[in-house]
Amino acid sequence: MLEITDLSVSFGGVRALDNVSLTVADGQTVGLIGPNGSGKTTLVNALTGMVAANGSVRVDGVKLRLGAPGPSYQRGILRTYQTPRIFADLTCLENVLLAMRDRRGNGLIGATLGRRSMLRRERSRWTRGTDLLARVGLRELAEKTAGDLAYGRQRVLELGRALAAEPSVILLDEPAAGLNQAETDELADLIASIHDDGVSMLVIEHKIDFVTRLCPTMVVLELGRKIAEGPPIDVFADRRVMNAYLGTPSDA
Amino acid sequence: MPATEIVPTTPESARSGSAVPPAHRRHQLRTVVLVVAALGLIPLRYGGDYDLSIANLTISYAIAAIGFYLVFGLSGQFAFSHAAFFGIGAYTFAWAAHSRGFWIGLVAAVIATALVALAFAWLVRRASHFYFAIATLGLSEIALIIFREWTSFTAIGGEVAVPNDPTVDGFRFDSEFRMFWFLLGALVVTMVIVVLIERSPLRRESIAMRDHPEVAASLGVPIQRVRFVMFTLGSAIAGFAGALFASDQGFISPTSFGVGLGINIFLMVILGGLTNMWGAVIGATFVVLLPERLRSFAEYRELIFALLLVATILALPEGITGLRQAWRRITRRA
Repeated sequence: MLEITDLSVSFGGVRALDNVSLTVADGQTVGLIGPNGSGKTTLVNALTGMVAANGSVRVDGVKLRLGAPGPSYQRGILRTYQTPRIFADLTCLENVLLAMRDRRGNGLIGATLGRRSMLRRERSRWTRGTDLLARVGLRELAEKTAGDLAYGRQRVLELGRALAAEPSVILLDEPAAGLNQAETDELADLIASIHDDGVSMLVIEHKIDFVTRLCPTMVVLELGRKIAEGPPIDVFADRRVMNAYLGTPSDA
Repeated sequence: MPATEIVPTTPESARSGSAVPPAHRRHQLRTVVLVVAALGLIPLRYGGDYDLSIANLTISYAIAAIGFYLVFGLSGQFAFSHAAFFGIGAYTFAWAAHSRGFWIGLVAAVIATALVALAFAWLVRRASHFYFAIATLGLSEIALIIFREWTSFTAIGGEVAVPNDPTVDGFRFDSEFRMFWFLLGALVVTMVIVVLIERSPLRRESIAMRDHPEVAASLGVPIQRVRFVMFTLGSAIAGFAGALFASDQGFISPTSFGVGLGINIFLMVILGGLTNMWGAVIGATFVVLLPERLRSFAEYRELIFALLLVATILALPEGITGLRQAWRRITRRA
């Protein structure tokens, strides 16, 4: 369970995120929408320790230290990026192996004197990584250089990489951006199946049918503040949400 | 195929019994042995002392450049300090070998360089990119001053004679010919160490840290530790090369370890190609050998060398080891 209480992020005088509170229960998929500049990505950056933030974040009741990426990873907060940020020079399998928690033998000793046990661990990591790639449909591409993957598949690889870290929650930053309809549908299927495995997710997305399909609960941000929360039907009927997206109607 | 379909997943090689992770099947040790053995045949035909001394110099620099491949190529650290570590290795060797002989000198050089590199990396751990580059530039200037002025450690003006040839079991590698074989052995040792690194998880963590440090950190990669390890190891290899250089040359002075060498080392790995350690070896050969071949052009030598450099970089942006890709691009276009 991810509990965010009064989370704020300021850039100079600008309050990019203003006392936002929200909860993602175990196994729940929450949608996060809002116009451009409303603070959605900032929220994801704050939760993964990539920007400094104030407030309280608890993962399964344990308080998270904000402002550094290490603790977020330790507590199982993983993310994907708006433009996929895979490691282009590594293979798909290596991308996935990077995120695995068992790092014994990864250092200089493992590379030299402790090779035997390093290789044993690598083999089991490798089997697990291959399974994870199969899970996201990239099994056949395990040995391909990740940079050669089509855009849509890089997205999927990011998801596989996040799964390798045994996440307690995955934050998806506009997963469907730049994908065609077929790819979007395939990705929605994949996210739904990850949901069925009981992984909690927070999904930022603009494509309405995509979020409504995946997220029974939605949170709306505007100018860094939470303006609505609830099931999609109620949220889209909300006057303030309509104003935020379409502008305030004139009196005329 | 729907994205969610689960394919049966027994890896082929696990079935066939040779369960070596694919990442560890790259960078074959056999290649190292074959190529270096082929190099070893060179002096049997072209055995002139002068040619051999150039070859020996090339190997010393090639070893240093391989170290720099770890620092710059694999882990993307923009360091001008490599020449300084080469120098620290050379001077430490001269000092320790003077009273205790070649092997103690060599070990002392590697350990001292590693310690200085680790301490430096720790001191500038918060500096990134340009600030790190400037700090390494500072380090190399400070090192030069120390070589010149700390005369109880070096000698007046930092000019030291190094009469210590390698000896194994009473056999002295005292000619250019013998030294060539010794240096070749040292090159193999260095390459084997680098191959072991390439065939370990350290490689992927290092590349991840190089390409997207922030993303790597958010995936739990201990980026600071990876940075320290690669910088220290690469610099220690420079110290190793510096010690061999001092023993081979028989004389060292601070002018050999200036920023000029630092830039030349950059040139070597960039010219040769940043994507693998062979690039460092080929680049070192290019940077040492070409000016020698151009001697007959007398005062135009520098100019022609510079033009050739520019032409090479323009024609082969991925370095000389990128020749294959470049050729494929050309033939595909035709």
